[in-house]
Formats: sequence, C-alpha cells, structure tokens
Amino acid sequence: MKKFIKNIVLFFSVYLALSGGLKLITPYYVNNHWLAPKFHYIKEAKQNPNTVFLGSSRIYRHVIPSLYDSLVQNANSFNLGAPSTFSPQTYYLLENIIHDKQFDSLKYCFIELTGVDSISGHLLHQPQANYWLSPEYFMFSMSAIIGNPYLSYRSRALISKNYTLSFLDNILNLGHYKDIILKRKAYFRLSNTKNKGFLSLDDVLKNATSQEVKEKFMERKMSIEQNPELLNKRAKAILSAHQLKQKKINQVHLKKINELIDKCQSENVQLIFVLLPKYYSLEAISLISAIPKENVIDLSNPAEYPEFYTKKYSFDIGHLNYKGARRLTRTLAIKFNEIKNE
Amino acid sequence: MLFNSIEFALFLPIVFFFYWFVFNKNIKQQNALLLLASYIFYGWWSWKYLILIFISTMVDFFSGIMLQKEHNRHKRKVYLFISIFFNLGMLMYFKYANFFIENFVTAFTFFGYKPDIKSLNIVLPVGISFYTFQTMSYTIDIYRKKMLPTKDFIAFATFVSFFPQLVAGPIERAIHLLPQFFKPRKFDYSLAADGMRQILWGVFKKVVIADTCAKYVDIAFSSHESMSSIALITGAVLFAFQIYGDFSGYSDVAIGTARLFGFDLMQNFAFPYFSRDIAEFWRRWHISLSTWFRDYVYIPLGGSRGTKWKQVRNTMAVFLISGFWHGANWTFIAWGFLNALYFLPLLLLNKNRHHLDVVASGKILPSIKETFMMFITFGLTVLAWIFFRAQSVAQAVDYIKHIFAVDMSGKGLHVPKFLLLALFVFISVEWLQRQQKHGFYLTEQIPVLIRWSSYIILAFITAFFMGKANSFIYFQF
Repeated sequence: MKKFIKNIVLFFSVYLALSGGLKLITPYYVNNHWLAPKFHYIKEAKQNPNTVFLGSSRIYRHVIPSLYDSLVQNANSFNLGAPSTFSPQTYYLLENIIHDKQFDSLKYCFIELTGVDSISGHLLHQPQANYWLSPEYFMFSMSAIIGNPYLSYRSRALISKNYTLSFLDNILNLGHYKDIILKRKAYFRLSNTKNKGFLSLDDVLKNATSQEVKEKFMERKMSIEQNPELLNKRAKAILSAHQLKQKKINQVHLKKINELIDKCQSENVQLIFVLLPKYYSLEAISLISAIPKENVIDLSNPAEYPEFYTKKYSFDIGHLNYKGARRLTRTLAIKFNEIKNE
Repeated sequence: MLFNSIEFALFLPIVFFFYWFVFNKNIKQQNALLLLASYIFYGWWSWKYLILIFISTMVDFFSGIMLQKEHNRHKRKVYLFISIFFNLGMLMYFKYANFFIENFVTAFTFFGYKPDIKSLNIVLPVGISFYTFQTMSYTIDIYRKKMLPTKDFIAFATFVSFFPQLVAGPIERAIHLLPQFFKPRKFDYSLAADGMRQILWGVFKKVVIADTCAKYVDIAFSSHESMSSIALITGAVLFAFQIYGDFSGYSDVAIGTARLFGFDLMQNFAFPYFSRDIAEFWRRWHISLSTWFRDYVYIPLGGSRGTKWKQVRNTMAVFLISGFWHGANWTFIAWGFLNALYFLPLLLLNKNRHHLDVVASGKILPSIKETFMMFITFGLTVLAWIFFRAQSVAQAVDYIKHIFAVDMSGKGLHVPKFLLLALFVFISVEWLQRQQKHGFYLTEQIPVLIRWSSYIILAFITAFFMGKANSFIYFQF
C-alpha cells in the first residue's frame, strides 16, 4: 500500500508541476476562446490601443470602439469584451494587461462593474470560466463570496462549491487547450477585424450561418417583441436597487477594486468601472457609491437613462441592439470626457 | 455521478481511504461502506432512483431466501416468477411503456381509429437495464440450484448496487461477484496499479476518442441529406469508434475501479473490431450481456440443439431481444435483426466457432486474408451501427441510401487532423495489446521512464479533453 500511495503522490506531483509549467509558457488569456483571437489580433496587427474595454457580453455587444474614438480626443480603443466574462476574471485580465508589452500605450481601461460571478449553470467546468482561478484569485473569490451580504448562506455554499471545482479544473488543466489542439490556427483567427473587437447582436443574427444559432438569437429577440413588459420589469428591479437607502457593501470586493485602482495608477493607467444598463446585481449597484468618482461611470440607472430600457434600443431583455449600442457608446464617451475635464 | 467528472475524482479517493485505512479490519464494515458509497454515487443523479433499487434489492433478496426454503416445484416457480415479474415489470414500465403506447396508437390510427391515450411522463432511471439483469441472474441461479442465497442483506445490497459497475455494467453474475463480498480483501499493489492504468485508458477512450468523434457524428446524422457519401461513411465509421470508446471506456473504468477495492469484474470487451467474423465480434463485444442472453435466453430456448429451424428461431430471438434491451425504438430492433442476419449464415454453415483465438496471435501484423476479414466484419458492423445511431429506421435507411448514391457534391465532414492521429494511435495501441485484458496493460519489465512518460502523456491529453463531463451513451439503456 505504501508503494501505491507513494506512486500516486509522485504522479500527481509531476503532473501538477508540469501543469503549472505549461501555464507559465502559454499566454494568460489563451483558454478564453472569445478573447484569444482578440488578443492575438492586437498583437499581430500591432494595434497598440491606449484604451480598452473589459467585461462581459454587455461590453462586447454594446461598446463600439470606432465610434468612441471619434468622440474622444486621441483615443485608440479596442473592445476586449467577451460573453460571460465577469469579475473576478476581468480583474485577472486587467492585472495581466497592465504588465503586458503589447499594451504599452495603455492609458485608460474601462472595466464592467459586476458582482462576483457564480460560475453556475453552463459555465461550470468550462475552461473560459476557470482558467484564471490561480490560488490567489481563488482565495480572493472565496473571501468575496463569503463576505457578500446579498447572498444567502445556501447560495454562498453553492457558489463556494462551484469555485472549488473550478479551481481544481484549473490547476489540473481540465478541458484547457482542447480547442487549440483541434482548431489550431483557426482558434486564434478573429472573424471580424473591422470593428476592433465589437460585434452587435443584430449582426450575429444577420450573419448566422447555422440554423440553430439563428433560431436561438431570434428567440431572444422575439421574447421582448412578444412581451415588452419584461423590459419594464427589469427596469423597475434595477431602479428599486438604485433607490435602496441602506446599501450594504461587499468590503472584500471593494478592497480589491481599490487595490486595482492603485495598481493601475502606478502603471499610469486610469481605471474606470462602468455599471452597464440592464444588469441587475445588488452587489454591483451598491459598490457604485463607494468607488472614487473619477473611477466610475453609472449608466444603469433607469431614472437617468430610461432609453436603454425601451424596445427601440433593446435586442433582448439583457442586451441592447445596434442602435442602443451606438447610444450607449456615445453616452459613455460624453461621461468619460466629463471625468477628464474635471 | 459520472466517471469522467471531477466529482468522481474526489469521491473515489475518499472511499478508497476509508475502505483501506479505516474499515480495513472488518469485511462487514467494508461492505457497508461500499453500500453507502454506491448509494451516494447513484443518488447523485436523483435520490428517487434509490427507492427503486432498494425495492428491487428487497424483492430479490427475499425471493432468493424463499426459493431455497421451498422444495415444492410449483411454489418455487411462483417465487422465481415474482422476482422476474417485478424486475421485468419495472423495466417495462420505465423503459418501454411509452414505446408500446405510441405503437398501439399508431397501429389503431392506421386502421382509422385514434384512441385517446397520452404518453406517460416517465424518466428512465439510469442503469435500470443493468442492475435488473444482474439481480435476475441471482434468483434464476438459485432457482436452478447453481448457488445458495445469501442471508447477509448488506452484502447482497452491495452486490446489486456496487458503484463501479452499477449504471453500465459489466453485468455481473451473482455466482461470480457475490462470493467476493464474503472474502477477506487484501490490498494487491500490482492489481491496484493495473487498475489505475485501466481507469486512465478508459477515461482516455471516453473523453478523447468517443466525445471528440461524437461532435462529427452528430453533424453527419443531423444533416445527412446534404452531406457527401464520403462524409456519411466517415460519420458512420466515427460512430463505431464513438460507441466503442464510450462503452468500453466505461467498462475499463468500472473494472479498474473495482480492482482498487480488491474485486475482480469480468472482461466486457476484448478488442471487438479485430474480429474476423460476426460470431467472433459478438464473443468480444459487450461480453457480459451476450453471455447473459446465452445463459438465460438462448440455452433455455434450446440453444444450438434441435433442428436448424429451431436454431434460427433461437438466434433470431436473442438478437431481437438484445436489440430491444438497448432501447425502446424500432432502430434497436432493426440493429438486432441485421446482426442476426449477419450471424445466421455462419450458424447454418457451422462456422460460428471458427475464430476462437486472437487474430494473428504471436505476430505483429495480420495476414492479407485476416486483414480482409477484419475489414469486412468492421464494415458490416458499421452498417448496423447506422441503425443504432439513427433517430428512426426511416432515417437510417435514408442515410444508407445517401451513402450508396455516391454523391460527391455534398458537404464534407471536416475531421481535425488531431482526431485522425488520435484514432491511429488508439487503434495501433489496441492492436499491439490485443492479447491482454485491456489496452493499457504494461508489465514491470518495461523501463520505468517509458511507463511513467506514457502515464503523464496520456493523463495530459485526457485532461485537455475533459472539461464538461459528457454522459455515457449506455446510460440511456
């Protein structure tokens, strides 16, 4: 038995050492299949952006870099949004980006403000949702989940379980690199290079070649066509969250945000957290008031921006259409210019 | 809980630790631990399934005791009937009720009358086809006086629910597995190390071979009308590897896991794609089911005794029942029928037991004749698999029609080079190991560095392909 246990321990030690080594020699973003082509393109095309937008599909589908560049002086931006890319993954990416040579010119980084992700449902065991969970990020995430005043004890336990499984997935490299092995060069090819990382949901629907994808997106679009009340309900929920008088703050999360602001500052990068419309999270909404004013833009409040909750600007309940994306980018540029001029 | 999941990777060492380090001095405690672990493993899908397996265990446990106590032939038959009726009844209800309802409605509609009967909302409990057959073997063997019943309920319940082979076999005979629950277990390093190798090989077959093939098989079968003939042939061949990798991979993990706990499970696959005829294929594919049907259906029907007509009838019956066992769909019956058609000429010409040895035994390469025979057998198997994979018999026929239409203008199936390379390596390794119990059997004579390098490489490739665990095909049966 001793020999067996010894060999098992030895096997896993060798495996973990090689697994860690592999992570060191491969790019930090490589297992996010949405982001790998974007980072690769920036490098290949020598984009050298001075502004990047980091976040989930609400950044990816809503922020148009070319429009933003036309509205902000000397801006050369790139959209680094990707579906289901929430915090803390965005923080991990940010910490790497500010030390990455291909982002030498970086001056401004917009990061979507979200609650700590739950890595639930379809995201569990997906490389895209766990490749960033280093021991440090695992510790931070667990503290942020436990310290989240808006979660029930049951939710905290469930989310902690998801993070533990995801952490194991990451250190064992489970599911990582598979698509690179199978798709090879195609994995890094950015399909639409003109839009600097942006792609509206209308374009996805229009250009879908697969019937399945077409039907899926059509169904999302039709959900608000058939039931516009859904938009009002979402707006009301977000409005009431904004109007809460006594907001509890996730102190662990706030501490991390402040640390990131400081880190960026030391690298001469201005970090701006953006709370985007249609996103409902008590944790994120409550953080708005605690972040320094020059580091935050709130575009989510329906009282201030009711247009983002109208059918005219919406693609589905959680996303804007192309018109809405233009409107949002314009508003974001105006808000940023205000911060710059203050 | 799936074998190819991180949950199982955590569950297994915990059970292993308690089994060998905490309860190692007492068999009863070890059995109780295995029972608890098996119920957790099974209840991971749904705790409701536990009710069914517990009732099935009770029925067969008491049927066994009553069968031994009773000497009256008629009454013994009644007890056996209760066991079989309960097990098959459960299987019929959960697996076949909707099939019969739908076909009943279709038949009446054909004659102009549409009965108002709706399909039942039934969820098929995972592994029900496997454990019902396993427990039936227990009562039948007691009835046949081949074995004595056990009075140890915990040991019997552990035999029924033994987690390594509970949901997809091998379907163990009580006569082989049950006595192992009463023998003291001693940890054997070489058995456990080989068990680990077999587990690794099994997971590799499932996640790298089967799951990767599945993606391209799904494309071929979901839009076969627009695919070229070559693409359809590729899709069917890939399905042959998918189902083999999936099912034999599960068996490898099951056998390897059982070895870690000191149990010996029967070999379920013996490199079936290296068979020279269909009879040999069926001696090498899903051995535990084939031998179950041989012992409990074919031989009681008369087996190979009697007239040719009776032999044909018995063979046809076994293949059709075997097809139907796989699923409540005409496609499985068609698959069984087709295999019977392949098998019957060999039986009628007394050539069904020609190839009892391993092909090209002692040689590296097969002869041209052997290669040709393996190629033809594989081709016939692939043709039958089309029925197995298709949604309906009509789709299978249409798929085959499109293959033989020799259409080169349709869409191609862009199989990645890595998959082709992985298949080549996989087939080569299995070929070289065809005389062993499994594909990753390595002796201590092989240098340590080579052995360990192969473990690490295999583990890395397997890990890269893991991610979200995909269910095993045979869980639906």
